[in-house]
Amino acid sequence: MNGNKTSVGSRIKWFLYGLKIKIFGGEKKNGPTKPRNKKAGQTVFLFFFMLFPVLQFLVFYVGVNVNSIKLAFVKYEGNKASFAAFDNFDRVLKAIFVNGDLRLAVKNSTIQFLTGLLIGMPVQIAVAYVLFKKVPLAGAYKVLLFMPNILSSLVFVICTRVLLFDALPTVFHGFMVTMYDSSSFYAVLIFGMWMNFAGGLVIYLSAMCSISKDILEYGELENMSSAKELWYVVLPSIFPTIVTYIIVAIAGFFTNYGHFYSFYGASGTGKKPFDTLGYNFFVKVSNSNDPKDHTFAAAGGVLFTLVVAPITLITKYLLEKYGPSED
Amino acid sequence: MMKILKKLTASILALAATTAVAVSCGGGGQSNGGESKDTSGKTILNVGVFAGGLGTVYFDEMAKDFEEYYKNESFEDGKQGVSVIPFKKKEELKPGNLVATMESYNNVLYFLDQGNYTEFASKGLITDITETVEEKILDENGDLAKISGKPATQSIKDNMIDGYADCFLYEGKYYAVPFWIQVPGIIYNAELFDEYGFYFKADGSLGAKQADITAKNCGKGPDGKLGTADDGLPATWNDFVKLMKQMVLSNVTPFAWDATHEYQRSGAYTQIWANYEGYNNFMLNYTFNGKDTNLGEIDETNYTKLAEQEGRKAAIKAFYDITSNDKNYTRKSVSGNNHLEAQKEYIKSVVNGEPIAMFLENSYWESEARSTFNQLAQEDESYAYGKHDYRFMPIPNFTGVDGVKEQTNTERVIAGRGADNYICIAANPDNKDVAVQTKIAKLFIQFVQQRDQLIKFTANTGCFRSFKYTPTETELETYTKYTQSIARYINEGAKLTSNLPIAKKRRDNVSLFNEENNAFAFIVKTSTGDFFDPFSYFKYKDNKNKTVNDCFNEFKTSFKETFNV
Repeated sequence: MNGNKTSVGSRIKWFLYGLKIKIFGGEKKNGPTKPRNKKAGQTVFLFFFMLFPVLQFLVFYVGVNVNSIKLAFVKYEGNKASFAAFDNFDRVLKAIFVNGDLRLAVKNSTIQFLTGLLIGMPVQIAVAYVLFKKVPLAGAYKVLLFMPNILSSLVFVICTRVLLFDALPTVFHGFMVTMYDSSSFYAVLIFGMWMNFAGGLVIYLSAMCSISKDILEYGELENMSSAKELWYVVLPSIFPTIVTYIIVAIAGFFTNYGHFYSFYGASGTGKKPFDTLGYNFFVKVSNSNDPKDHTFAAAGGVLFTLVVAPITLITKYLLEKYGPSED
Repeated sequence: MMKILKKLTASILALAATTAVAVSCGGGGQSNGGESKDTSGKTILNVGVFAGGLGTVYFDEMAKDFEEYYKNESFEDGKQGVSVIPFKKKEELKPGNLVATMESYNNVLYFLDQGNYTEFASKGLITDITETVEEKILDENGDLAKISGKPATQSIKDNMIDGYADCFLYEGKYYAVPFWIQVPGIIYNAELFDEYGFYFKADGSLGAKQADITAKNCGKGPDGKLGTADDGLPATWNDFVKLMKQMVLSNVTPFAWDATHEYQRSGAYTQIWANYEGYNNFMLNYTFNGKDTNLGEIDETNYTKLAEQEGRKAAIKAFYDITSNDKNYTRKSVSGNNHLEAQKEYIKSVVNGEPIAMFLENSYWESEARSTFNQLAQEDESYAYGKHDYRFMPIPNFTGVDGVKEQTNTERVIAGRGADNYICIAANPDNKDVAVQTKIAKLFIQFVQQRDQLIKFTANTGCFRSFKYTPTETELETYTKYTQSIARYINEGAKLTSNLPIAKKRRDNVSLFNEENNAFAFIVKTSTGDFFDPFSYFKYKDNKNKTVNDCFNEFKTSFKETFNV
């Protein structure tokens, strides 16, 4: 009987030893480590290194989104949940196209998107180019322009609120930003462009800095003006970065809530001239205890994904195929 | 060397990042807001306290008194007395969040600010406390019988304000106890009124001061009687408009309020509407059962007729007049003040040279603005919490007002709100001592029911417990001057209404008849959003030329479209 016990124990011991050899290799005092074991060691390391982020992704991205998709097909009557088929989707579509609850939000989101794309982005590129050309005090400008990204945006929100609601109306009689017209929207939109400016500036600037010197020398040899160099040399070289930003902007069309929540909070339940899709849905999810708002937001999320996903992919394909390149 | 340095730097950074992740992943657990207490040798009672506008000072007082009363009582072997550990949070204790997390907290007793408790009861989250509510524990004066020594003739249920006892029943049992009512409306600065002579003289002109009121040489106010709390105040809406004009001429801004939320303006709207209609007509909006003096019989099949109540038009007219002049309200009342900033603006107007006469807020506003009062008190003690003479403005009568039918109601009404808050006991908390804590929680509920505690609650919050109690003159002195003004108004005969969902239709459609946006009072739907108060409606850029009738008609259409269920 003792012999049997020993053989079981030793079997386990030898099994573990064999496993160790397979993963880490044998103990060779003087010989080099085998590449196969080094690779295995790296694999194990990577596995454990990636385990946490992968788990996090599975729980907080996959899990949350699966739950959200499920919620899009649920309705609540009192406390009871039941299958809603496409009722929630119907409510979202009616809010946009029929009763107009989201019409203003769609309009404002479009303005926000186009402003970022047609004004914000060109200005960022232009200023990045100016800094790239190493104008006098370029370093100082970089620090100044990057300041909004160093401090918390809420600090700037507080300062801007004092500026907009106190200082400017005192200095300029008749200047007023009110909750009852589009001034409340445009004021925060301009603030948002200023706050986002530094992020884009740094990315474009670093993209420009990584342009091959050979290509830049070509521009110099051809005696190009700054404008021509920007258009024919720099832009094509940083076009992949521009494409990324355009794709991100398109993907964020429905979700970007800007700084409106920071400025105005959840702002009651009534009409808001600064309503955007991102703000509207954010408030529905964060501030409402009504399950109807949550199912509405879930259905809206699914619908918006179905719209924006193909547009994003097609835009990326077209820009990469037909856009300028270094060649 | 460089290689070693690089490895070392990378290791330190990796360790820092890992530590940060580990810390953020760590269980937050429950904290009592940083308060530490000596609980050794005492039985603990864990209490969840909603930390909203009401504040939590009232609860600290309740807990202190409860601990003192039971300091010699033993609830567990080897222990004496009770230590109340509050969990003071806002977001975590909102119903939408709490319904999912209640069983993971260790709180046994809850003081909650909002929400439909039937949802909690239907999910088995809160305990049946019928026995606690129906047990006779109070004497004829509302004191605890075991303290006064008098016979116990009343229960908590017997002492509830009319309508509550039925409304709080769920499937024949009580799962919660009503908590408080607050009174939204117009607050005025009596010291400023005195300084500028904004009171009315007996001949109807402005210029009277507090001394004239004391000498009864002043207007009679809306109740038409001298010697009452509204002496010298505008008796009619036309008087109120005249008062606003005089304020503007005197470089005093008549109003300030929260720009970002409608509920304060909606509260003032409701006060005007209720006062025009009178108690019975107004309460039909919550009972859907009875006879309106102008509209006839109202029941659950035709309650949308209530949209026609002229009191709503009177309130719309009031806001039309206020909106008609930009100088009637502060710039920040339209540009972006939230409720806390609006309170600060109003309170500090007494010292910053830009006086503001009146304010629209809920009656717990002084409690909510304690930090602002404390800040001002550092310079001048007379500005401390409760010291300044703010008062509740009784609503003027709508007589002789263009476009509004003559008001016939002479009954004074105060519209109370906030009937959806309650005290309850968790059924399955994550607490190993749930049995003994439940027993103590029931005692706590009964303890705070005694008259002294009801008075103290009002003194600390500016709100009223949903029970019948009338403060004596001595007790009134413990209230802030603002709360005193409301209590005196009630003592003089004003009837307090509450926004209880008495009608079955309201209880069966809680989200539709949601009192948070008060849409049943006012709603105008447009293609780009809804208005929930007339000021927003008239102020909106597209509505600048709209009239009172336009607004009232659009309201009636939107109301019927929204509430016809």
